[in-house]
Amino acid sequence: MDTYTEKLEAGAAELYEYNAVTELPRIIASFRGHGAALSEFLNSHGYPAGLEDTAENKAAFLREKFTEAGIGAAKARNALKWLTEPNAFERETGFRIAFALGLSIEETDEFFRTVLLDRSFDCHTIGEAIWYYCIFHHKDYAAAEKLAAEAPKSERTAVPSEGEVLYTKNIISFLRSCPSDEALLEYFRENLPQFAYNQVKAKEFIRQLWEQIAGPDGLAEQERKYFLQQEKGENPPAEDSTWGIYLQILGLSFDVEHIEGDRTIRPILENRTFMHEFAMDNYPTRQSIEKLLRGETAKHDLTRKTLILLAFYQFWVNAALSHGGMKTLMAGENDRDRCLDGLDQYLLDAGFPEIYAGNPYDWIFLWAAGREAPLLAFRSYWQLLSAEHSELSSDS
Amino acid sequence: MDYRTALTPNTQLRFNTGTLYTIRGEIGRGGSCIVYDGFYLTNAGDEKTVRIKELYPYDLHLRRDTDSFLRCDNGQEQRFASTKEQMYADFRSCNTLFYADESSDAILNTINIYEANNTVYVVSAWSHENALPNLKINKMKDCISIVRQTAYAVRCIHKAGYLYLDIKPDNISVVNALTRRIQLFDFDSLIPISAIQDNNTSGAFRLSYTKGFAALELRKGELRRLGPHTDVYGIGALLFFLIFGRTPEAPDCGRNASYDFTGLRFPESCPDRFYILLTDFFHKTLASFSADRFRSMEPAVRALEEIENLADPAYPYLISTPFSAPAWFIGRERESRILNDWCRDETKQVLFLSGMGGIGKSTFVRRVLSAERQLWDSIVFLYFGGSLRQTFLNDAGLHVNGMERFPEESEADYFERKLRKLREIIRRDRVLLVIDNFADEHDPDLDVFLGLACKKIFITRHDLGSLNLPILKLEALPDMADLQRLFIHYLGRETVSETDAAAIQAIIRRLSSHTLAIELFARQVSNSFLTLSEALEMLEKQGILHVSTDRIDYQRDDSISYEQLESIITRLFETNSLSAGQISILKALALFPAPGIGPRELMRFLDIENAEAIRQLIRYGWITRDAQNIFLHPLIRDVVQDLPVTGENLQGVLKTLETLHDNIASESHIEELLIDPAKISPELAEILSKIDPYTIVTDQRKLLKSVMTARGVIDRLMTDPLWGSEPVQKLLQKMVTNLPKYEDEAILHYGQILLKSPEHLSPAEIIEVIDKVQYVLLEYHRYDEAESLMEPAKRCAVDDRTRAEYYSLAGNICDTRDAPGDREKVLEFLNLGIGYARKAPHSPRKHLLAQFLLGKMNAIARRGFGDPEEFDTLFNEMRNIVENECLPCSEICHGFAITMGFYWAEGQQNREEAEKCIENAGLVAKRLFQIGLDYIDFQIIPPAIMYIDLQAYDACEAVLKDGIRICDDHAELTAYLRKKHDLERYLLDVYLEGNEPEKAREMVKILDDECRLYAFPDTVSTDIRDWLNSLPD
Repeated sequence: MDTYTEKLEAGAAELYEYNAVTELPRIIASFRGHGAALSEFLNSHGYPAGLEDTAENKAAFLREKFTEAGIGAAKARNALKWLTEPNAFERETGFRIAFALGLSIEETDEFFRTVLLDRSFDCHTIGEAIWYYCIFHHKDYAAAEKLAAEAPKSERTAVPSEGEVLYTKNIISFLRSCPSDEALLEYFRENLPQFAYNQVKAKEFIRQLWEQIAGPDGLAEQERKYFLQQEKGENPPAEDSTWGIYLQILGLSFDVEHIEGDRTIRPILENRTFMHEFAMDNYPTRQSIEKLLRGETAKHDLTRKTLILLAFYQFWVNAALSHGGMKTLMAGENDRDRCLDGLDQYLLDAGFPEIYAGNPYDWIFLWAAGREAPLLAFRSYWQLLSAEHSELSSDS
Repeated sequence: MDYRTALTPNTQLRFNTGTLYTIRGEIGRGGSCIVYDGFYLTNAGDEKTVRIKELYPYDLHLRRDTDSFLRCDNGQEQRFASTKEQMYADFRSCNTLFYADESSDAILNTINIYEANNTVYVVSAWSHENALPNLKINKMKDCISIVRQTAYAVRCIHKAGYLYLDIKPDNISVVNALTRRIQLFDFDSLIPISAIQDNNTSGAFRLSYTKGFAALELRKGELRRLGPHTDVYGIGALLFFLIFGRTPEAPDCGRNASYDFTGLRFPESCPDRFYILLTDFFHKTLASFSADRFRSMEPAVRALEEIENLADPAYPYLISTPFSAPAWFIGRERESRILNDWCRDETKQVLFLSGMGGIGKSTFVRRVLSAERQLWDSIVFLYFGGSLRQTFLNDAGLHVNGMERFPEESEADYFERKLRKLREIIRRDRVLLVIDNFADEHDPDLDVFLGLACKKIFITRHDLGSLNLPILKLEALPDMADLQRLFIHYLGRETVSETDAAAIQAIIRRLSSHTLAIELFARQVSNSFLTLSEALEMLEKQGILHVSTDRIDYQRDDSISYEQLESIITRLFETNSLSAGQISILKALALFPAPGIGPRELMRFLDIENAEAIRQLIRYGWITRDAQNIFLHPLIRDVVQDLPVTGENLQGVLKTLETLHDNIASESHIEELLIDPAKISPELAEILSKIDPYTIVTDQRKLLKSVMTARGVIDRLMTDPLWGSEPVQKLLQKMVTNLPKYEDEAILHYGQILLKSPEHLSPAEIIEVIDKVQYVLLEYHRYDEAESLMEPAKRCAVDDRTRAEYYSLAGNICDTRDAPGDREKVLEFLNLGIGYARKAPHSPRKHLLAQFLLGKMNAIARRGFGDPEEFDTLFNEMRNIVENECLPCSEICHGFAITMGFYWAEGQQNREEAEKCIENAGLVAKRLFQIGLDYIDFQIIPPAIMYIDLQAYDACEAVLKDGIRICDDHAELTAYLRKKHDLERYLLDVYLEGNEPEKAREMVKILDDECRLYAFPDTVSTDIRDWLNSLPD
């Protein structure tokens, strides 16, 4: 664990509900952007002059690496921006940097997880499958470019609701054993419709989790039955719609009248004091959950965040209902680590990077999992946002 | 990036032993080695497949020359040399493992270790066809056996101080198909356990794993979190893969993960315990959180041994009944807690769950047990088949794995053998037997069953409250909100409007909260596209069975049918087993609405002395019993009423109607029995002499009870085929004529129904009804309607008695209406009545005559019409009747006293004598007129009139206020409100006569308010109002 994540984890351990108003903004300010993360990654992957060296020198190093790898310096002309600005480069650039630095598959995974805060190869995308193939088989950049030019193109669609789907793990298995470039292109041509969708496993997990949560006698209903009635002394709004359950997960069921708009929490989310911009982007909403349940195309970040939210809720309600016959929302022994391992398992199995303290969205869950009553802590965070929103609304 | 360059296919390796190996291709690479598929030629010329592992550490950045030579010239020479030494050491370790006693058949035999190309090669024998992925396994037990042996082998590796870390089918070879011994291959992933905690050496290891089989900590590269538990995950994943055909994923790795065993590759039947242990095994091997797994391979091996044993097809066990939790369930929290506690209480072995059919007993048990499966190795649901022996013998219900009846074996022998086997299984396994629909607590084998050392639940409709057994009684769901949700759920809606909610509540009440009836009725409403108000109306009118003939879905346990509601309910309450006598009792009991009737009372109605038949019906759940009464559940009542009408079935009903009729007849007007001194026996005379004659009087409470019981029965019969029959009409007649006066609306309602078609009534009975109805109409001042009844009354005036009664009716109208000419008519009718009454031949003659005589005395004394000299003659005749032939507490005696009061008050203006008469009448009245309205009519109003005549206004006011107080005590009854209004009107006259305008104004205000409030007709004339207004304040 590096110092950066160590500090963030320590911050999570020392943040309580009572000091959140003062401490949370400080922690949010301490998250680094892509530039700083890239700089640190270079430092641990062959940059000789050390972390303190100037950004200009690091940019020159990157351009040199691009040239050496046959990518060309022109593709790295914005290198200085990459190193100095928070969100200055996209996934495509990320793969080129990985190629230029000669990263392995595992190192590329690490690069995306810690620098871009995103998944690495989405092998259900032909372009990224080519990156995977070339990096795994030590092909040069020219070969990658040639394959990309010759590969068929595919449009994105929803995951088919019927018929067999091709899982990413099967594609990866093929890519690793693929004997030649021709075989790879042939594979793409033969399976072209299968490259029109992605995140199959992740969406399958989301559907399964949602079924467990929202289904008849599901976790949401059980939570209402055993905990929310006791807590509030009355029945909470027992709405089994996506919106009702979504609000229940966030602990906003009783604040629903304060939320204006068409069943969206967007107004509450737009809070830069207590929520980092990256956590705010692609935050799961009622609409996005419904979209994912329909298997529609979504950004990796959104799908990953939704998976975390639902798996987190599922874990803690399950835990609350099965404490040896005693039902309590308090965490049991080792539950924090058990929860985080569970989340990691979901993420890795769905092809996403595991929980990372340097990711502001992940950090919220990392913090909540470490509290005495994690689900309540997570909701207290939302109460904070909701209260802030109400205050701002009434001021205006 | 992995820069290592593998040997190309067809590369030949000739080692110092002279053996030539040919590379076919790379099959994988780990942190320190690349593994190739290869072969060599035997002396016979055959190709022998081998695996060749080449030492080629990733982190040393070795370069391969064109001649396959691995060059190490980057300062890592020393480390490379050490790695070679380590490879030799590992080879020796493997050999050690191979020759270790306990694992000699579990570790793959490496052929040899060689040096070439500046590196080291280990060659192992490898048979492609023996590799696990290429093996056809078709039995669960074989799968588990392979995994157990693999776990055993890995345990040996752990004992030797290494972690294996790459358990997967590709690394397992199964040899000697007869005994299925396994051998592991590929030890490149081995890591010394000692190195894990050593920060200095841990960096030298590059973890290699196979994704679907690797534990989370291995996939995340967290070397320090590795341990034997990491291999434990591999064992779990291997078994999971072999039996499900896929590798485990996140949802399979949670602490509470559940597994769909219907998706097993081998659809074999195994004991429940097998699945329980398998689930537990997966929880303790596949957990994402490593601390939740077995900490070493030892317990995993033990668990696999037990699971393997249970997977043996010859293993004797009770095959569980497949059952699932009901898809939807509500309420019963208290009962669930009781059953949950019982399940866990090892001291309790038997439970009788009782409740009526369709109340949800089986569903409730399935619900609770589905969450408690883990407590038992086998849960068997048996459907009681007439006797416990037959139930037990039926192998389709109670199936012991591998056991069946031999063709030559007798039933008794098989019973004993099966019982022995069951006892044997129970000694080893935790067994729960559920005997559903149990219906014979005197079964000769019950003791044998109760003696079995396993848990047993008997589900029964029988009411076993009188037996000393542990019973959990399931009643209707108590919470209306729950029932409403139940209804709405089966209605297929999410919410309903307030109006619909009110209709649903009424429906639920009509169905007495019966769970199944609510479910079925809601489905019916939905299927027949009825609105809830329509449905409620139909339910009220037709009962649940005949709301619609549209078929509905019905799910019972795990089967679904599509049929009419009527057939579902009648099947639920199958009456085939009941005798005609029992049905007769049920039909009779069905006549009595809630709260039912006392059992002794029913016996009296039915004229039966032995309660056994009723007791049996109670025990079998047909009749419900509470502290005092017995009654039929509305659903059962609907079924019973729907049973065909046959002579035998009806006996009880007819007997009941007859008894009810006779009860009323014998309880009413006993004081009016005239005693004929000539016919009285000495014995009776002696008895009468010892009784206070004032106590011989109708017990109005008792009579009222009988009348109201009859009314409930009559209401029940209105939709019955018996309606209109003679016994029903006779009972209705008795009921109407004995209804208390305050039941004015009921008198009109039932009386008019009866008068529409009174074909089974005698003329005298019809006139009695007309008399009662006419009284109410006159009270309402509905004179025209009262008058209209005279036409049918006239038709009934067929003999002297009825003619006399006819004139009595006619006189009543004229007397009450008091219109011009009515006085004359009264006198005329009285004279005619007296004439016919004197001729009437039957016992009511004296009574009738006395009534007319009193009427005429009244007319003379009060109204001053008729011949005053006749009064003395009438008085003497009446005194003779009263003194010699009447019981003292009778209406005649009372009427005589009142009439004489009028005589003294009005005729003689003698207050003292008049008050003596009032006092005498009062003695009778307080016993005789137990109903307030009667008391007012006969003991309040007449004295009040006397006091007005005597100008004793204060006394009159006091008497009337007594009457008003009686009305106030019954203010909830309209008849009393009306009577109170009448008394107040009298009071107004008293104030006017007494010249008390203040009180009169106040009374007018009260009367006006009441007219507005209750829509009474205004009886205060304009003259009175004008006069009052003209007076100064």
